Amino acid sequence: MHPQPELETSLPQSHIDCSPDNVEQGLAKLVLSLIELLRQLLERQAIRRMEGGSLTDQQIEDMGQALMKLEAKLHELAEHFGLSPADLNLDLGPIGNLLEK
Amino acid sequence: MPVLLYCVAEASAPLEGPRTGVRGQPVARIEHCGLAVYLSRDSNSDAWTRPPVRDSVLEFHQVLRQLFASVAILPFRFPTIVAGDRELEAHLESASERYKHLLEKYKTSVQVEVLVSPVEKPGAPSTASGTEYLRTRKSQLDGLDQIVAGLSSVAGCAVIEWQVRRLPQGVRWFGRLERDSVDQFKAAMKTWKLPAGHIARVSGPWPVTEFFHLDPS
Repeated sequence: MHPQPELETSLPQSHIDCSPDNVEQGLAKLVLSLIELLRQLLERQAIRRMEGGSLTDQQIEDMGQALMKLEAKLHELAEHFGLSPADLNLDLGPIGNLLEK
Repeated sequence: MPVLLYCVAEASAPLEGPRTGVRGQPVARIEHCGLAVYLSRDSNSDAWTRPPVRDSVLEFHQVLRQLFASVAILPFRFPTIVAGDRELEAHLESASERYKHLLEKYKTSVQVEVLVSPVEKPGAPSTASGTEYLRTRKSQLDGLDQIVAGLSSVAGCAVIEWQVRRLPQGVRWFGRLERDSVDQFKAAMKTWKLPAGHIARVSGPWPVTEFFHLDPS
């Protein structure tokens, strides 16, 4: 058994930890989560365009390279700040999480 | 005094619920606006979220599990803490109609979850080619779509409705079913053939939280 999904509620939720001891990690989590969101969106769009046949082989290769390097760099930065891939998410309260989990 | 909220239930919910909750605090039950709310009170709200938080989360879900075994509940996220009883009452006054509607609508429903992911762990990409990287991703997505289709087909006889959440590395499939269909669902799962290269984790029954937000009310 593992913890179940949580109910949306309009009551106060958790927040980004920006206490003096954790300000670096809190900000890194915020920034890296937003970048991860953008990376996922770009990746989906790239796959759609690749499938749609609107890109040349070179363009596909370039986009794939860029996304691949971005993913590698994100992992590297997350690790530097003591964050796991699962940590790259934000609780947006009543509307859920920034990224699916 | 700060109040940690566990869940809301119909006023007919058991008077005798779990005795202890997070950090060994007593679990109280109050009624307001025709709803029952299970909660704990502590003058020091930090105690509930003090490390190790995992222990608090497990204790929290233990309370929910005990209640959900006998009645429909609307669980709150952990930690949902309000300043005091007055704030809680104000919240219930504004949300009680929606809560009552959800409790009535999903009174006999439970939720099951299947998490499917590739065996390969997420991590830095291993290929050197950008084209191969994108094709691999596309292939993974197609494979997961096929798995979801197969899963929905196998479980279809037991579930009322289902939905899927796509993850960067896998999918989460949620099914809503009647409480008395859980055994039928489990039997269906035993006949499901998961393609090689993937792992699946089946869990439940849980409160139907994934379906609340789809409710037009």
